[in-house]
Amino acid sequence: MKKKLTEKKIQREFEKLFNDLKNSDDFIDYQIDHGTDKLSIGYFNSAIDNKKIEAFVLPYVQEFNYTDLEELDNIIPIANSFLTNDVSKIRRNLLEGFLFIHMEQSEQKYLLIPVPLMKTRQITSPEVEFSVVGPKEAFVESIDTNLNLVRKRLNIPELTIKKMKVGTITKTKVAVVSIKGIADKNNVDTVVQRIQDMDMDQVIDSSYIQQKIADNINSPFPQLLDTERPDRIAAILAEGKVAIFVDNSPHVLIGPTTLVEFFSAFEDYFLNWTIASAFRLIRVFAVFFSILVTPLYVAILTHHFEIIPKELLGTLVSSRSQVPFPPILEAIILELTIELLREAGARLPTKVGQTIGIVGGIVIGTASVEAGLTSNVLLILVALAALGSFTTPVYQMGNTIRLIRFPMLLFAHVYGLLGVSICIAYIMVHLLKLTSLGRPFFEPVFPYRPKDLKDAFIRLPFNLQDKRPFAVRSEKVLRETSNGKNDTS
Amino acid sequence: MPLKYVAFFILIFVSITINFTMPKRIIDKIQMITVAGYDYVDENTLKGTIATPIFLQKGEIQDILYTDDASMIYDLDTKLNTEASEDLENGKLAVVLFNEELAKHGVKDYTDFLLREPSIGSGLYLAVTEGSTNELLSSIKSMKGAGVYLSDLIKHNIQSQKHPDTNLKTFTYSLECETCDPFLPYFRMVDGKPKIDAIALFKKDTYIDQIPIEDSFVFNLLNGDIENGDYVLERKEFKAAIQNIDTDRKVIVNQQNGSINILLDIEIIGVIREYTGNRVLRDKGKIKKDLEKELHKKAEEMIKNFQEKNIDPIGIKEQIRSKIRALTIKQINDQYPAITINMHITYTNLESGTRR
Amino acid sequence: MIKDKDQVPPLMAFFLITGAQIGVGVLSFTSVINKYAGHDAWISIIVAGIIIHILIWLMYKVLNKYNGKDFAAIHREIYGKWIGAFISIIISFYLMFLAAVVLRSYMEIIQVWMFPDVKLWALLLLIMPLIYYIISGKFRIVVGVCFLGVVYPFTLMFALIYPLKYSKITNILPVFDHSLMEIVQSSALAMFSFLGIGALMIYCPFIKESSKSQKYAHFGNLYTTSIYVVVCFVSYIYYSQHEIKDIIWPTLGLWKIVELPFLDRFEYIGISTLFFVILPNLALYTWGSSRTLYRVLHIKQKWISITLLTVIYFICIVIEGREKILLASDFITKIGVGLLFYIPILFVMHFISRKVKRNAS
Repeated sequence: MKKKLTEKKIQREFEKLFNDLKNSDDFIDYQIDHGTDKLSIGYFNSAIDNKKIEAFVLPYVQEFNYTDLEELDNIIPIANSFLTNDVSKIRRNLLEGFLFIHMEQSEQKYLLIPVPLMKTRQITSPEVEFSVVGPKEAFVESIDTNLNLVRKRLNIPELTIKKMKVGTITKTKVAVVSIKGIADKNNVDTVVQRIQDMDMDQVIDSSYIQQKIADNINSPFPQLLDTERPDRIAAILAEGKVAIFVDNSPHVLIGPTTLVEFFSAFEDYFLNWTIASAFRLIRVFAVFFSILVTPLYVAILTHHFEIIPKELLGTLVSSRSQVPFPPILEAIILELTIELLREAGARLPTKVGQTIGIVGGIVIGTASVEAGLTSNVLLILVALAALGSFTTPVYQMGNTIRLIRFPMLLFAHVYGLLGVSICIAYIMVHLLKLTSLGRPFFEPVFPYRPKDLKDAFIRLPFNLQDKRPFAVRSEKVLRETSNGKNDTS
Repeated sequence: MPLKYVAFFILIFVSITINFTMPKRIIDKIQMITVAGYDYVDENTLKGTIATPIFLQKGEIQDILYTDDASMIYDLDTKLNTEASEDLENGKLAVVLFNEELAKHGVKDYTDFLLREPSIGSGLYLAVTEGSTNELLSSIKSMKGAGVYLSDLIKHNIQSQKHPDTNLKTFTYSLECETCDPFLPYFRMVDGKPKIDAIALFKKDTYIDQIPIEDSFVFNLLNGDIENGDYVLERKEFKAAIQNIDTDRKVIVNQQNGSINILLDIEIIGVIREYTGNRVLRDKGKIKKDLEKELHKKAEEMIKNFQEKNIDPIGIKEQIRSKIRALTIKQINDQYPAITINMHITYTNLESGTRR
Repeated sequence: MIKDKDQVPPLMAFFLITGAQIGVGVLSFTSVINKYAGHDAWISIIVAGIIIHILIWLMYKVLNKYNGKDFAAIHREIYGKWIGAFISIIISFYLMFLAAVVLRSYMEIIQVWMFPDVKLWALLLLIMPLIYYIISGKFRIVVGVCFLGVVYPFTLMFALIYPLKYSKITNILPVFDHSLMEIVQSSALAMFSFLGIGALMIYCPFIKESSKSQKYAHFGNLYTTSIYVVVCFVSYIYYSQHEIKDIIWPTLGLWKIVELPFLDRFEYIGISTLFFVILPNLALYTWGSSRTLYRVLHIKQKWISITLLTVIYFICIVIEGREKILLASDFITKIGVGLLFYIPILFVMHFISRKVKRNAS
């Protein structure tokens, strides 16, 4: 009696399930006669690979002899198939690219066979973080491929992957990857905790997670590094950091990170340390130049003409003599022009974008000087500043650098050099306050860690970097080496 | 949290907007005075001339001269502002000229302004002119503009050791220092062009004498170390041009029986570049002897002149003060005209060019 | 008890001491301390530095006895609840007033050298949120500001090389031309430049293994002393004594002569960079003040900070003109030196109170 009742209940649930599923037109189910029995097969057409069904399911279903689903399960040459009568499980797996087979005789048992469609982009060379030397692989939009790219580089059992699903609608797969025994457990736990606590309906890209789990979500500075290079991820994992992989996103997040890391290109590790250090210093200089040059121009030309040496004075004044605007307006016009060009270039197809950049740069620049809207000295400075901001290896940091110029320009206009100082002070204090996964962001400058300076503004040779950076609080501080006894096989 | 950000934003916004209209000195909306000249009119009046450059395209500069009478320099500035099309600013002042008449009446009242005003640098040059400064300034026709022209003129003469190092800083240092007296370059119009013709000597802030620029080498020799100077030794039988002269001045102060005895020990090292006699190598001893003798004579005359006039532009008294503890500044000043100053000049020839 | 996470390493005592000591005074002290000792006043700085070393040593003696306790707690223990609270409040007010005077003196330089027409009350509105932003965070942020405020402005020292070209060594000769008494008198004036070390008693619990930090605190004081001696030395060979006594900010005058191919008149750069020198002063003093008040009154530190900053803001507006600023800074330095001598008193008091307690028990 009781059994009958539950069966009825299950029966009702299945009916409801099929009614729900049939709402979507890409749900297909049909019946096949198999001897005396009737087989029904169902799947989401948009989630499965038809070729797999034709090659590995239908021939076996139709041509072999079996009496129940267990036998059929053994016959079909696809791994990971299973029998179940759990309605919710069936629903979830169907959506992920399984098909079900049901025999009328075997009551409420359903055989679920995975035949998902795995279509992803080919692995291409990195576009954002391109490097001339070194590996040319970049992540793609599939989390499994991406994890494989890392696993290939770190084939050790300690590489642990914790998988989660986030987003109430998207149910995006997220993997938190770290090396056990090297990564600080607290860091891993923090990341996992924050991802689990995320309250979002959709996670389309890793940047969603970046914005959601950052320590200070109001800061213009990105607090998690993103990269598309599997080699970088491998190196950073070996340093003891934590990586966050998100399905359907070719960018992987890294934390905890520090400010200086945003100015190091991974290519730095492929070059000799002297060259790499020089490049890094140039990049750091470019950043300061890019942030400061236009505000200083505005401050000095508006308030402190005394500072300009008399040899330079003639050049500056005569270049500005046709310009009817104060320096601030002149600077904002030019900066906005550059931003417009960049934005237009970014929204257009590559080839058109390039043309716009060149045409805009040359034509608008020259024309505005000739029309007397801006001075040619400032044109050079703004162009150099823009160039400087593009040397930042991480795209998001480049954006930040370009945009913090604008408030600084305003401060410079009103309070001259003092205004620039005050604005720098605000930014500095902000950077001091920032943390990345609870670790100070401004490290190794402050908290002052001279040992971490070995790989900050310059990169010293590998044999001097025998310790992992203190910033990540690695559980194994020493980088263990093989003492020259490498595996020769 | 959001309240904090809103409060921050409001405070900063208020701060920016309130001071937004603060007077600004935009580089092309001001006129920068690069050179100012002051002439004596009478006890309470001076006549000021200032030059401000108008920057034309392609590095051309045209000067505008403004001139007016006033009782003090700031008064002059306000008066001249009514003539100028833009605000006159002192920040790039490079040269300030006083005419001889004014310098004779003392310049302290006018240098005070230069020191008090924060926007004026210490590197500016002061100079004395023979005639009116107005005339001198209007005579300059240079693409550089009068200010840069004059300051370059003085600067390169200082660099080539034609004139001892001078600027506002050294002038006020000597003026304020209780034991020393300042000096300035002295301009004279020659063929309608300004020329540094002499070194103007001051007793405190009043101009009293000058040394012709030909003797500036000797003055430099006494004043301190020369680097890369040159000197022409002229005798009846030969002439020798000595270059790359490095000198080293040592002041040895002795006090015996209450009277102060000073020995100026000057070592000169040089290279003979031009010689009209036979062979440098053979005449080496003679050149050395003649040069030492000539310099010694000139230097002695010069120092005697200083002592007679009771001025000390070469800082002898400062050397006494720094070496003898017992004397007060007043005692040094009183004794100065009477103290004996001896000299010991030695010349060493290093090279003689590419010929023997 | 302060959490381990909020504590800073002992090395930071260096930057805390130096950051508290060097302030706007570095621009003007050279023409103040030579009142008695003339050109020998640079020796007075060394003397003052040594005295401060002794005071730091005394402070650590007291602090090590009361492990992990700050001013407020030590006062309560020595004097009892009410008198202790009273003295703590006085010290906290002193720090607040000191911050106000430092800020106002800096603003005076801005008014004289840069913007004579600036509306001060509006400019201050820009700076107050910055200080609040610093002190509203953890103590780590205050230390960070001290760190940057010591390291970054060090580059200004290189600008002191240029004036040497116009310097005459005879200006400070003969050495020891003044009597010992005069040098000591001048060193009393030089002490004004070393104020702010008392804050050590407030932030000491925030330093990890604070007894280990003593070494660094002494190094910090040594660093301050040497910076002062270098500045003083360069000033005294650049100016003659007769000349310097009329100059309000001799150090800025040193920079006036700097002429580089891309830059004239270094003092404008110098003044704006100096903002990073006074920032540690302001942050540390206001933080110390609010912390002490918090320890005594147990009101939320956030509200205390806001109130203090408002008071500082109004003090800065009320003090107007050279004379009043001079009056205020004279007043505060006198109290400051008085409080420096409070440290030995405290040292003696803690001995007495220990004795009394031991006898009682």
